[in-house]
Amino acid sequence: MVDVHPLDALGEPVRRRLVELIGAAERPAGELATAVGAEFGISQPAVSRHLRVLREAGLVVSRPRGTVRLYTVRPDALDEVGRWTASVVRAWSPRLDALGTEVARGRRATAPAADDVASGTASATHEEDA
Amino acid sequence: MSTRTPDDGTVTLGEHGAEVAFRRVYPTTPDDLWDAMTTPARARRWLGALQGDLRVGGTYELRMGEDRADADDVARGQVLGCDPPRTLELTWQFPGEQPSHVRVTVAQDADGAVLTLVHARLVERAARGYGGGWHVVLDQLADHCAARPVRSWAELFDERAARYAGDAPNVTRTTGGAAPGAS
Repeated sequence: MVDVHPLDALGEPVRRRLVELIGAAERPAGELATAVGAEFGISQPAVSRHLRVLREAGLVVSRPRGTVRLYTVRPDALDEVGRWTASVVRAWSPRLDALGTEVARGRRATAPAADDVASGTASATHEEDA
Repeated sequence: MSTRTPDDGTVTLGEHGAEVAFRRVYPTTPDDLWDAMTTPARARRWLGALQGDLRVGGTYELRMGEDRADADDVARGQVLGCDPPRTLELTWQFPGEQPSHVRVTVAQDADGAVLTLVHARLVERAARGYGGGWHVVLDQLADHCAARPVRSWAELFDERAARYAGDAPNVTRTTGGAAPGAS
């Protein structure tokens, strides 16, 4: 079987809501169906189908309590989502810092000559110009 | 979703009930297709844990998700008809749902074994849900029959479910009488 990434499983509003609810407190499927049923107009079997997606993506697990099974979020899978987000932020943050520098530098200095870009002293030269 | 494919089922919404029907061709014999559907060791590979007595009057239990009796997606019912390898007729009780009716037929044709599945006596919401659900399951059966790795529910579900939502071409409304095939 192909593994489904947690972010793919979360790319659906009903399932995001289910993870929010399960994350706040362990709940049985029937209670989850009641909670999201009114909000999204879906039935308990429909909730079961979404829970199955979440289980297969490793986002939730169930455990028995009395006659029902309680759903719990798997922190590992949510950590994976967090790590992915953090990695994107890390990739972007130097560029966003550079954009900040560029904005601070202002419009007059934004079109350096090609040899300035190639030269290690280009930015220093420009700052002097500005 | 704007076009139908041969693998798509049809959700029929009548005034007195709804149903979903599929027709699929699998590259095998009717005997083998029947075996894939009814032998627990094989059914487990694409459908779920199946147990029970597949004879008229017998009962069955099909665990479609987790393999536990107390799981949320366990179908149970009675065997109304069983004529290997041609027809299987079941009552279908799923948690949170009214009882419904499933009829499966298998026949030989030039391209292989033809399976028809009609799940009837449903409310609209359930019929749309089973449209997506059976579509996934029958795709998984196709993987199994072709000896490919069986794709997961999570991988297929969203795309298949969308084929039976809203005013998709796979959904038709009829007026007057029960949905066809409901008896």
